[in-house]
Amino acid sequence: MLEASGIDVVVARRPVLSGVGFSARPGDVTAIIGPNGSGKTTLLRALTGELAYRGSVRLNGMDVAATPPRRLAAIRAVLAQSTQVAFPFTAGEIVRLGLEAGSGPADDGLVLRLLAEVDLAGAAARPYHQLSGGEQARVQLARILAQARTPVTPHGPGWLFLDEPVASLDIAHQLMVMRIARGFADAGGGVVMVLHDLNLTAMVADRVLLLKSGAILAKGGVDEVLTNALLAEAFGCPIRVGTPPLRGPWVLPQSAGATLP
Amino acid sequence: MIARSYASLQIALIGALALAAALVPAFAEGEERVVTLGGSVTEIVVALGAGDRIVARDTTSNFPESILALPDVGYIRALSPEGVLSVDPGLIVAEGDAGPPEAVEVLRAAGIPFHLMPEATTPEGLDAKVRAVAKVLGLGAEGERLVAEIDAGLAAARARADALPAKQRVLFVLSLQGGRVMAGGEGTEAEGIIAISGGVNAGTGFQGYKPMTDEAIIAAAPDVILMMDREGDLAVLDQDLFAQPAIALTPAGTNRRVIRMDGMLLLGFGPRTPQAAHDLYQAIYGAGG
Amino acid sequence: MPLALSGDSSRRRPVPLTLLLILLTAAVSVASLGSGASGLTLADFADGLWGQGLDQRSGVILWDIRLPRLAMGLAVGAALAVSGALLQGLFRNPLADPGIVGVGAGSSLGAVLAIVLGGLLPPGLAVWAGVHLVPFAAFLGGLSVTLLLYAVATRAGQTSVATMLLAGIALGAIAAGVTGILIYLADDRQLRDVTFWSMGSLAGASWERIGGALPLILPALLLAPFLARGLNALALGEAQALHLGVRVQLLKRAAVFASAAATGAAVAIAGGIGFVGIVVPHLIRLVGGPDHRALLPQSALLGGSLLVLADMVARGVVAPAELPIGIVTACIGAPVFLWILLGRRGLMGL
Repeated sequence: MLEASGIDVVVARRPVLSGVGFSARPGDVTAIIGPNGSGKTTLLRALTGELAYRGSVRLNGMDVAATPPRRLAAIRAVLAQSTQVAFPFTAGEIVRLGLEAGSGPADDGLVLRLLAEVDLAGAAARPYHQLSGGEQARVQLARILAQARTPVTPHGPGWLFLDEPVASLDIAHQLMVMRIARGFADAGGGVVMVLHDLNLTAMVADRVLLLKSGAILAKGGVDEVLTNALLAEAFGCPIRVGTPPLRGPWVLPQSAGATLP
Repeated sequence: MIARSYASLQIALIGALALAAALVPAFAEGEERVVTLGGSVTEIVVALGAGDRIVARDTTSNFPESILALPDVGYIRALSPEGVLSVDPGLIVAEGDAGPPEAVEVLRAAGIPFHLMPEATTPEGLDAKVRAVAKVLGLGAEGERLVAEIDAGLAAARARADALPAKQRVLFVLSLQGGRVMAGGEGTEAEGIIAISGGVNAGTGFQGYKPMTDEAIIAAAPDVILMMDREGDLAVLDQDLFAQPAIALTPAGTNRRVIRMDGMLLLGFGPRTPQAAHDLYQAIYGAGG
Repeated sequence: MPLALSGDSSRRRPVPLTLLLILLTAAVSVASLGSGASGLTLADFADGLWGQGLDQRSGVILWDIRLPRLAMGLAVGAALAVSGALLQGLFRNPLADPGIVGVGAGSSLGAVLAIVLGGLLPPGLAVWAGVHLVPFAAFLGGLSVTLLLYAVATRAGQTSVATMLLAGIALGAIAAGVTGILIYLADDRQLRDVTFWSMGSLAGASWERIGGALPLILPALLLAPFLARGLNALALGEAQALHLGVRVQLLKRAAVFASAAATGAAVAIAGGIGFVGIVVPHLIRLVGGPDHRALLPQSALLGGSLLVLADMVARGVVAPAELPIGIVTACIGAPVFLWILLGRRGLMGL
């Protein structure tokens, strides 16, 4: 279980988050959505213990602020929006970093399997800096999966925290990431994901958290939160949910239905 | 009977001579190989007549010219112990500031006598240094002779200086880097040699070799500029010297009076100091002045 | 161990490279013991040791000159190289070098203070400090500046490496200014001493000096394996390292102070020696990859070997005099460094 309550975050004397509280269950994909500047990334960073906050965050019963990094690393992995790599590591070496941080035996074969799973089979020996932006993003994802390699760990369910994991990916790879996240949750792990894309949210999420100006505007199931009124209020622009537009193309990933194949 | 004792006396005499002949080279050989460190120490050793015993010297030793052909063991304060050992010294005579201390220790531990000489910036100090070097080399008599020679030369210099109706002001300029004038102040060898030569040091109010401000140079009003004789890039040409604005405003600048002398001769306090005093006096006051 | 993970055609597996470097270090050490201005060779030493014993002079050359120089070269070279690697990992920048945390400026300041003002000490204290005054002052200077930098850059228990970098520039300028004043006050002889100190030398090698410096150098070398994994993770950024389970603040503190101590001690006994700290980790990264678990010990080995080699050049080129070793490392290190930068820009991610 992930339980957050009373989260306040102040950055440079400006309140960025006020009184945010919610809970996420293992087996669910929980999506955090909202306009730019609403505090989505800040919330994720507070949940993962990356910055200071007031309030309480408990993960698998442990207080995140009071738990040593090693123990947290054994049950959850975090994917940032972008990662700079300072030295000429190979893709395989980077995934291996995740492998070593997680709990359980470190098996090199897993590194190769995970790279294949993110559609980078055979790239293990390639220098990370020579990969494209999308390929680099997938390497980082593989690293996260290597760290949180089992959805259920000896210390409770495993967790993935993903901050805009599909930002630099093409449609096919976006689907792939959603499939992976869904699979992880279905196997008993917890997934908390910040997303910009509302259609992907509708496709993959079980629970949605809608933020505006640092506070929760709405939380609940997909149908409860993704409504015209709430979305329009959050994003400040007219939004229609559910019906294709009267004119102009409307591009959707192939599985436009409510569930993934 | 007398013939027999005469014969045994001859044998004894021959035996003694043979023994002495065998011993003398053995004794002299160990002391034969001398390493001198420090320009003035080297000059003193040569002036004592022991120049042929020197097998190596340091970078600051450049007189007489024959010394330059010997191996150079480096800067006196940055000796390489193995380097010094490689010339197989029997004795090392050095100016007082030889170093680093670890190198000195190692050389002593290798069984080589390492003698540090007292420093000298005055005539009395110079005599003491000469006597100390002479003692280490076992040349006491030659040492006294050299001391007498130096003292006579310095006495003559003092007499010349005392006979002057008025003394000229001399400013020693070490260098002219970037327009700044590095001058010789109080307590320097430059001041010492200027005084012995009958001049007055114009560089007052500061110690050591320091940059002098323009106003101080003008106020000092030197009659003559004194410099070391340098070649190539380090040379300061007259046109550059007198183009320096402050110097141009001094009597030395107005009359374009500059004296250049060899650095070691001028500033190294050693056996040539009386000669330096004489040469500098001549340069300032003219022959027969 | 690693399958095809860290192998592209331009990298070697860690184990053979480490072995190669061990062999290199051994070979260079043997060569160093067998060469010197006096012309004595290993054969001569062997004859003496296994025969009737060495005469006094040869014994001093072996035990009091060559062997301490070798030990000092290995220790100082390893200290500088490992410190450089630690700091490059900490600052996530292949251009960092041990001087970046203020050790260089602080050590220089300490040494110049001791050289120029040492005469002001009461005679008793000066005699007691004796030959140790300059090294001690250099080490204290380096450590003080590092502590100051660390304090300036650490707020609420978090150290900002960016602040450390900038504050280091400022403190370096202050130290240079104070050093300038001291140089102005110095007389001729002190000036020469300062110059020679800043160019470095292993000529003052003695078992005493090495014994004093070793306890300060060893922590960096011994801690290195424990810091390696954290430094690898740190390459992804501090936040990522945290999420990978690394105690980032502890890592920073350990890396900064271990490298400051090691560099401070190395500079204290050998004077200013440049380029080893910045070039050696680079070379290793080019050949062996950036994994710190291999990089740190390999840097130590290569750093020690290179410094011993540089010392052989310093001793041999102008025998019986010797060059300051800092000149050798600069004359060789700088062109090599430029060549690396020009040739391999893409691989470095710079």
